[in-house]
Amino acid sequence: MPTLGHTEMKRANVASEPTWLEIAVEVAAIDTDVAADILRQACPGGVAIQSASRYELDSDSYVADGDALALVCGYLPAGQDSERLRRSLRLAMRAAPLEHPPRWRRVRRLREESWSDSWKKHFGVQRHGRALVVKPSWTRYRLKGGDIVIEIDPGMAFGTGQHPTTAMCLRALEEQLLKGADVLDLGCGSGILAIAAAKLGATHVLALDLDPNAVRATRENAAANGVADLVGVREGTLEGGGGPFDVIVANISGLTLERLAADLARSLGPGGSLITSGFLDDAVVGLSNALEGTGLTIVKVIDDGVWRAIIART
Amino acid sequence: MAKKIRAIIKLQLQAGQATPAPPVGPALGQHGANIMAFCKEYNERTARAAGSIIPVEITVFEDRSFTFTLKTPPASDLIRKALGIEKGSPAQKREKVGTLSRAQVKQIAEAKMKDLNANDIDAAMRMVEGTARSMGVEIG
Repeated sequence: MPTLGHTEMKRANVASEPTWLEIAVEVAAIDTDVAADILRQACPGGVAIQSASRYELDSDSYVADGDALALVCGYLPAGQDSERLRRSLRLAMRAAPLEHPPRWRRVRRLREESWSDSWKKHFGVQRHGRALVVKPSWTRYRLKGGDIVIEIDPGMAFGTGQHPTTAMCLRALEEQLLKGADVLDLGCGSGILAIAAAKLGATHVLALDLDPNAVRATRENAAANGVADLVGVREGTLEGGGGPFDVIVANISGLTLERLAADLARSLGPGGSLITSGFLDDAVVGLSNALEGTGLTIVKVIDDGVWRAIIART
Repeated sequence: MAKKIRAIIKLQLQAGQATPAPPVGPALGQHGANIMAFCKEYNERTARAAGSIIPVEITVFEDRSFTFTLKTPPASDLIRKALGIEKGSPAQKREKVGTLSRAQVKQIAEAKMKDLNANDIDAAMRMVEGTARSMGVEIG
């Protein structure tokens, strides 16, 4: 059975008219795993299972209703050989040892906006630290004295300011002396941190990300914020080091930060600061050890909910 | 009364690779849950299991906040890994793709026990055997 690679699905997702086909089948709860397994072969991005839930008085909680039907949904980029794939899915399902016959739903065509818009409704103006104000590009805001406004259209990239890790990095950036600084934003996402650094006085910011969506979003957001000449954006990472930078901010993942610890330390100039986030409590010890192992000094560990950030210095 | 639930969503995703594309986007977006925040936390929590399917059960509350719990990989994924095969047989009755030993069945059943609707290890083993047969895998 032909399958789609993850990268191909992502590419299809950024095409000019991104549409997806939702293939959904209703099965008995007991058949959910088998049906999900068959759909997953054709939809390697994953499958969604919607089960009915019921309130259970004894445990005072909602639990999945094992007697009800479950809806298993897979998604294919439109334009792929979807008709042939759907036929093979039906054949595979017919041959599978299901307890009850499956019921296929009509195929739905989805546009990306149909879900991204519903989420946007919940993204509003936020204040971070003393002066930073993050606002979505589609919202009006009346400026107050001293406000530094960052306008963000996150697109499909991470970084709206709403996530605790982004919020901690914004506050930490505000506490740094950024006037005239050379800054690196590693894993720039929407570009929110790179733009904040530029607006806080950095003379040059390099923004790196492996995701082309993020690179595009950062370019667009930097231009919309009038700092395109200060923010250089590149697709890539820090393997081997770079710089030297006065400040590096990296809101990525604990494992990646641990792996890049030596490169990060090597890329900091004398007296330089490193702001890291994107990890949970269980990564703090490992990452602290890795950073200290490179000769950096941990200045503080800060927390916001379950998330942590580590600030270190040369 | 428990916090009011808007939806319970189960997703089967590649560990460390959740993106706002389907199935995550439509599943969470229709309930107004923060898609990016979910992707970030799922990827962080599953980064060490790269290469596996890690199912996740997401509970979205009426205020659009959500929690999620990670589950063990599907039995079929564990069977494929145990046998070192990429996928099951397209014609499971005629064409067998491997043989799973009783010990391997027990090992997988033990790993899956907490997520299966099985009362004891024997019932869990029968479920694993059923999945194996549906993939064209024999039990030795």
